[in-house]
Amino acid sequence: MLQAERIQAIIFDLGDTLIRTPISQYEDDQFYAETARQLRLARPDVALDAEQLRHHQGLVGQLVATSYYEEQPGGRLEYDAASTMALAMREVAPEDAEDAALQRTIYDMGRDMITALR
Amino acid sequence: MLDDLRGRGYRLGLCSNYFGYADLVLDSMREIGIAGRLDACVFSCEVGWRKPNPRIYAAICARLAVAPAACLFVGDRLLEDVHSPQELGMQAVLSHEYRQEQPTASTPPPDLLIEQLDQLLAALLAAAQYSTNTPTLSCWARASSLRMRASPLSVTESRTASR
Repeated sequence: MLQAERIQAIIFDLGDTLIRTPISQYEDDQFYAETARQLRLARPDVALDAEQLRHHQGLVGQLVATSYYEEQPGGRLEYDAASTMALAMREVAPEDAEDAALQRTIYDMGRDMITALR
Repeated sequence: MLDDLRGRGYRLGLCSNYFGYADLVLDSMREIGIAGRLDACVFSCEVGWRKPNPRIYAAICARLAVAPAACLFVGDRLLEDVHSPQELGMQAVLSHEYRQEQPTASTPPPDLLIEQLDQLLAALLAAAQYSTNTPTLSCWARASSLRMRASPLSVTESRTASR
């Protein structure tokens, strides 16, 4: 039973709570496994497995965001994509977060994957 | 529903893992009429920490000027929206409206499980009435895995027993 007398504030999640989010369609085992596989091929020195990707979602989200950003007007899109991806990577793989080449690899990979998914 | 909750004095916040640019999602929230109904928002891309990192929950509590113990977190994910908020002292509601993560035996259950978000207000009202008017039923409420089905709600309650 909720202890209603304690509650002064209600905090909502956004995606798939207040609104349905289209990113859900990408959240399946095959997608995460394929993402991890491609990442291993592109950068075998980076050990991010499917479970890490699923758990944190930042990188996978960034892959989806890549195509979204490219549809937006303005010149800061690539910078924003890279910077937000770095934020996610600081939790997933802190030692790689500042690796610009790795960010570039994932960015390119994400763009290609989203193109293929569409 | 958001207006009803605010009208009853609750402060409303949003805490979201969002990979993009906060202004973009805020624009979208304004377009669909959500942004103006919230007192504060925190996005992971803005603060640099994603749920379940405790810092992002602390950020939204600070913006709402409330302690975690006075907060109810509502979301669709067990780790990010239920377990981690509970560890910080919040109560937590798992919503099955769009996604259906199932509570596991190895982790604490949500304080409440709702099938649709619009059940939240009724559940709060029922809980408030229960706590003020029916204290003698508290032993009954402690029964394990209590399942309530009262129209129009379909609410699964199971956390009380763990407390």
